[in-house]
Amino acid sequence: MSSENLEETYSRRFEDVLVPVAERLEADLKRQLNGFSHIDRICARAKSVDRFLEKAQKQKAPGIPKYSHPLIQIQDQIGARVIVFYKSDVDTIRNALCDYYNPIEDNEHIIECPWQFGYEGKHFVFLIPPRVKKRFRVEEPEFFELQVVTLFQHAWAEANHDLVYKAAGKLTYDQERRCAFAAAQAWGADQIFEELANPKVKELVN
Amino acid sequence: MDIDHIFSYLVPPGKGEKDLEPLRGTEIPLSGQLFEMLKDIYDKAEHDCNISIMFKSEDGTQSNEARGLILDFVSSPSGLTSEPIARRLCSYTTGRSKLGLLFLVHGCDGEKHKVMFSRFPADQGVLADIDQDSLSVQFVERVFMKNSKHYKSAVYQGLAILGSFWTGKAQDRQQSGIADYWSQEFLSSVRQTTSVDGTIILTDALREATALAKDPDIQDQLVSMALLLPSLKGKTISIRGVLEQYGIEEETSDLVISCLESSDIADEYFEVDEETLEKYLPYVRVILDNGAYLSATSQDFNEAFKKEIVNLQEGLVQYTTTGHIVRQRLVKRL
Repeated sequence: MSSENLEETYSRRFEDVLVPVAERLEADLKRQLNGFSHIDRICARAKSVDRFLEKAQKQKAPGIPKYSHPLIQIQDQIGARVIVFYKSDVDTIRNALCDYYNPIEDNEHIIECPWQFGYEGKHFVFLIPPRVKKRFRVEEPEFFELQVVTLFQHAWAEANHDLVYKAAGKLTYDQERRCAFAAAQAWGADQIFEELANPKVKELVN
Repeated sequence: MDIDHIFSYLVPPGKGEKDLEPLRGTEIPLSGQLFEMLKDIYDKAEHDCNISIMFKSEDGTQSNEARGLILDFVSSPSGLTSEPIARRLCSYTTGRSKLGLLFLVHGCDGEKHKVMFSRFPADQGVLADIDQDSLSVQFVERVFMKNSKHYKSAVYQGLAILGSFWTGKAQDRQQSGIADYWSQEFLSSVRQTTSVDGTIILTDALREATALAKDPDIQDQLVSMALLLPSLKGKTISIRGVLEQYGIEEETSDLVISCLESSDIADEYFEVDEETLEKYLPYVRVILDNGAYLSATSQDFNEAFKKEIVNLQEGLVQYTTTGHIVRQRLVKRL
């Protein structure tokens, strides 16, 4: 498919399908997670046309596109995020979500090297449930991506995306060190709040 | 989508066996009576396979062994790529399921592929053959398709790429629901609608339909049905199936189905979850025109209140209840 055709097809899908399904999905997530404490925010969005095209044009090697069928292979055309207060809330929400949605991916993004700090979070790729899609239409995407992150993971990821991902050029060594430092601070804050949120610690504090 | 290959394997039970026997298979010609029969099943598969399934993530990543084998097969249909699928079925077939005949049917239209698997159980029969001046009668142990409507099948469509071929449809014409060894083990799949989700959809529709129903008879049917739902715990059924099972009248069924996001959802199969029923349909309340409000948990209502019809034509009923008073309250609102 030419890039013009891809843009036209995706733009149509964005308006007709992705935006309304994302709205319905957000409402659905809010309903399913109603009553759970420590949730800061639940949101879902349709991937913008520009961001989709940018991703679709990625290459795995010079001259070789990463996605042969971007309309099928890009699975975050609808992305959702649940932001929770504490690290232990991530698993609580994960277990609740798996009662309602079926995952084909259930992955923890962690940094393997103990000396490095960066993005961390829980990522899922779920089937969009039949009740969320009003009709069974083959041209609709089948899946949505969902992240469950803590407030600090979210804060770091947003700023990092804005400053690093969108940066015009490569960051200097010192700038990258600063980003890693900020990630380490976010990681540390999560650890401390998790400890403080522990009922036994709370009891001692009170 | 036209058929371009059909392979068939004789699949014996092999569950728990370390060394499986080599499987015997063959490619079926694309003409003749057998072809026509399989073509008919293949053409109707999307309609006939009534249970929406999807491959499950086996290790947290987007990998699934059964799906991998199916992708290999659709990418290059051959004896080499079909035999591992038959071998997989063999490794999950128990002695109870006995010998089976597996067909793998592949079709393709441009980049799109369709693949259907059907398994027919072995049966016994008698072969009567007439030669020039005599009749020979033989007992035959390996008869398949004695009943051509007695089989399991599954169908998938998509592109032979990593993001595709995750969802499909399946059916089991040998039992209600679907055998675990066919869907959960051989196909390593789950139903697309989770048990909690399906049960919530059902309870939401019932609550909404009851609120919308003006006719007391319809309300009565809906409440009676809600009270009977716990007996379906653990059963795999669709909302339409539930309505049929309880003999719900057409007008009432239509009302329930109209409360769903789409009528297609009425045909989605799920396992009824008891805990969700208790959570989402916790209480039943009946209001009488004499000012009485009768309330009890869904589980206890029929035990707590005995209903008698005093006058059918006038719709006059009498409820009686017996028990010790636990508490009495004055409330602002009912």
